[in-house]
Amino acid sequence: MKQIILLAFALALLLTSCGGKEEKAEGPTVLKFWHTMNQEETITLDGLVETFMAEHPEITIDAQVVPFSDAQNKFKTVAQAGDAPDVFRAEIAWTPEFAELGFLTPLDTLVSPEDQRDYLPGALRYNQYKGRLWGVPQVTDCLALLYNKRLLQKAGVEPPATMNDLVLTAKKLTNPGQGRYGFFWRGDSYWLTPFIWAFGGGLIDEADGEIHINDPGSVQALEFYIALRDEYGVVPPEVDFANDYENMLVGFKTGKYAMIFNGPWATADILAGEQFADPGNLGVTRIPQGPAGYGSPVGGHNYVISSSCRNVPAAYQFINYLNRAEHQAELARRNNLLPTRKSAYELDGVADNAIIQGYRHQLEVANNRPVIPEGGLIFVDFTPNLQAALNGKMTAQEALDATAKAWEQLLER
Amino acid sequence: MSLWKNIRRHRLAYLLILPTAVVMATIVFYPLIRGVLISFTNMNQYNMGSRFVPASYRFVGLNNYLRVLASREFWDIFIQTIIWTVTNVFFHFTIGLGLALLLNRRLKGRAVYRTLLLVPWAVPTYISAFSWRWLFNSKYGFFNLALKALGADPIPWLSHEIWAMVAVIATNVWLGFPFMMVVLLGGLQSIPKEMYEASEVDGCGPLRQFRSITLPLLKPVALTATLLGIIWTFNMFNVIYLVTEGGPHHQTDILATFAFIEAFHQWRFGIATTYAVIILSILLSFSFFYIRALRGSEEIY
Amino acid sequence: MRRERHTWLVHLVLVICCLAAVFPIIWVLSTSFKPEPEVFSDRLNLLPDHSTLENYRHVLTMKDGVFFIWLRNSTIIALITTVISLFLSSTAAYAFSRYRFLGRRGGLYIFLIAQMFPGAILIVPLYNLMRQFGLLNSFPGLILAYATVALPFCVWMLKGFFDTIPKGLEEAALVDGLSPLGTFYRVVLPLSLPGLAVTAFFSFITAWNEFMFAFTFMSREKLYTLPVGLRQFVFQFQTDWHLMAAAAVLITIPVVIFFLQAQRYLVAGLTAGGVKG
Repeated sequence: MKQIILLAFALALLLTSCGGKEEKAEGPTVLKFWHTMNQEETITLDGLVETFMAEHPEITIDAQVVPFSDAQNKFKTVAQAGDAPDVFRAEIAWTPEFAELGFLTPLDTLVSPEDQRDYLPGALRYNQYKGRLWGVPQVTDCLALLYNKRLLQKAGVEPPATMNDLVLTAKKLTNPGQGRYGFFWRGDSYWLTPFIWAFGGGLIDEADGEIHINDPGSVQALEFYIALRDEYGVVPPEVDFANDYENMLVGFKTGKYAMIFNGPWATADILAGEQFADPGNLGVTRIPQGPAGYGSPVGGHNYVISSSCRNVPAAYQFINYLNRAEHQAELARRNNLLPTRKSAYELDGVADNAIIQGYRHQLEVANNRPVIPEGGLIFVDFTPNLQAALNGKMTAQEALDATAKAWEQLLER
Repeated sequence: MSLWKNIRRHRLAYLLILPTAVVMATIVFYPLIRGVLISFTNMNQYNMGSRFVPASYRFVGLNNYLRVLASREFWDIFIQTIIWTVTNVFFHFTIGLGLALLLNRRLKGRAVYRTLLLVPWAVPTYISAFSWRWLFNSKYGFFNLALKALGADPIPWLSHEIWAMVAVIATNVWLGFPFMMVVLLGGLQSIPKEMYEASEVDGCGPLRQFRSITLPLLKPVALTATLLGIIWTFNMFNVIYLVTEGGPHHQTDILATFAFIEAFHQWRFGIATTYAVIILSILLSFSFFYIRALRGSEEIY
Repeated sequence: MRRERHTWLVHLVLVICCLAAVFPIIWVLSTSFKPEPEVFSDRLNLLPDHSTLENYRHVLTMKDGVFFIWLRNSTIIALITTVISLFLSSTAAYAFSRYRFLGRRGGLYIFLIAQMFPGAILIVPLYNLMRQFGLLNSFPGLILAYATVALPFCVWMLKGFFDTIPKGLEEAALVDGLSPLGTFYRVVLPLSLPGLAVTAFFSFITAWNEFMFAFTFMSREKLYTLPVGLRQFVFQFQTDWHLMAAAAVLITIPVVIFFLQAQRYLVAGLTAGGVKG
């Protein structure tokens, strides 16, 4: 009985929506938009949504915040049933996975060549999978070397340009008796990747699926990492894998650690610290070069249109509006985020923002992580092995061999 | 007695159970049976099918089981799970019983005590878990600051193999004792006062009362609570994941955290359900022996 | 008297235990009054340098007071879950306790088995199942899921409580002319108030604090429950702990109120009346 009623209802709906089918649908189109931005960013975003709806009264945007830590699973769960939101802010690592699963609408024909040229190539890379374009980059980020200018000046040192300089500089800034250290490292594999690339190692080669995590260069990187604590003593001896992100920031903000790696997401937090009440004291520069060059992981988020979307042109109109250079500049100004358009970097508030320009400088020599569906999962297997190495339970070679083995299993699909 | 006659005789019983059975059948057993079946396949997110692509997973027989049981980590994780479960339930029960006995008396401010002792259960788990994670912070956490004040060396709680397990167990004991306390309190309160009064008239001291009245009458409730406590703790991946994420390097992982990671990070449902079925089998066998060994306690009067 | 002398000792032990129970949450409480920069600090400052009510204000007024919508949703869902759970589990537990019917032992085992399987891993099939029944984005769907999760424990616990009530009472009542259901209602239930209180509280708190199902089955912000709504403070690299702490305090208050009501029934004194003999 229920089925008959549902069928009749569906039929009626179909009949009523059949009249006058052109590019524009009858009546207001409602686009569901889910995003994972924090409170501060959401305020800016909501403003943009408002102005968009004012300019396009035929489109209503139903914007919703989804908690980041659960958003990937939520999207996949609803998408497999066909209920995905029309527009979604997907982390770069999720994009190839969603594309592989068939949950996204490709945007090749919608993104104009000028726009494609305007996007930073590193950021755009994460939308390109199996020869098609699956989204547009919304915001990008990377790890850079952050340093306390005052502390460095006092010790009479410049920010290090090479890994050797890093050791020398950090040593001058280290005083264990006072609890001061020149550098701080984390037991999180994401924070190790700059070293991996700098010493000539690698993660996974997308083109041929080759795993490079246990190459000699990578092993050298991990050995250097461990030596920073054990041999050179420039990082704190105690480790706390569960709390080291917060500890890193507390130490940096109170002047205990002179140099750290972190990304633009932390700028607001850092500037609230006592050492950086004057933002001019925060230095942002490239992570020092290793024997093989620079290394820094590029991250970020993309706007994607799901395959459940029924009005792709309207959805793309919305995305393109949000991604205009001046709007990206607004997010940059207000929330310290890095725009993905080259043209945005010339605008007021961005061009003169030393911190953002410092990150931009790092972005120029940063590395893309592998653009594969498993891109986000590689760290889940990597970090425990890193922890074992840092605890002395495995040598660097053993830890990276174990990681390589885990990744082989991961990629066999 | 024939089947039909038996059903007719107890038709009230069946009627009473019917709504519960129907609800359980759809929401619990349908996924459970599906889960068991999935453990014999290689199902993951790429082949499970969706609105947009048809399903393409295959039957793989016992492959998943062989893979899991033969893996190097399996037995380590299994032992960790046992340690985790036994230690937790032991402390939950002893602390819960002790407090329930104390709160069973007529006491001034009893409601206040009961409510304060309830707080660990009332606060959302992930918030409490984070509090504990910060308490165990090797640099700024309360415990290490206290140790420093006493002149001792700080302990790398969450980064050390043994101490990390101590830390998550402490956290879970704290989270779980109020439940045991409330249940046992309910059990104690169900014991009629007259029994104690009558025994006092007969000249029984408090210890004798405890042995002959309290313990036996508390047994059904206590045994049930303990059994359920064991089953829940065995599956409690939540707390561990929030405090240490199973680290350092898998030293605080239990079978349930592996099932969870396979299911949620990788959507490798074939393997995740394999872990789940293994967990189910272990708990089922245990319960079978547990109930059999304590069968004598069903009838009290 | 001996009793009196021990009383102060009992109080001492209880006070110490209460401190142990509460102190990890003191950090949460104190954080809820701190401005953001003070949340993580190298000093153990339990008393904020600049205490503020801003966090509470923010949580309560954000997005036009959506907090109260979530509060309403959580309350309705938790209360209805409690009622349904009480009803279903008490009737089933009574049957298991009093009647030796075919399949009794198996039935009890099946309830136990339901607890043993980490069901959360099957959230995707559950989502599809709920979708098929049209129960997504609806209160009944969530209530059903919660009642189901709570049932095994409630049935086993209540059966245990019912088992301690002497059958003699019901036999006497039956002789007096009451129907079996009548004895259940008028004789057994009143004597099991402590057990019912425990069951009620357990069901309530299961529904109140649950995140996974609520998050998966609800896709509209106005339908979120409190745990889901307040998860928004968790971001990619950091969490707004100052807001989260204020939210946690607010979420815990109704639970404490409910418990204060329920624990009044955890009293002996509803005794076995006339089993003389």
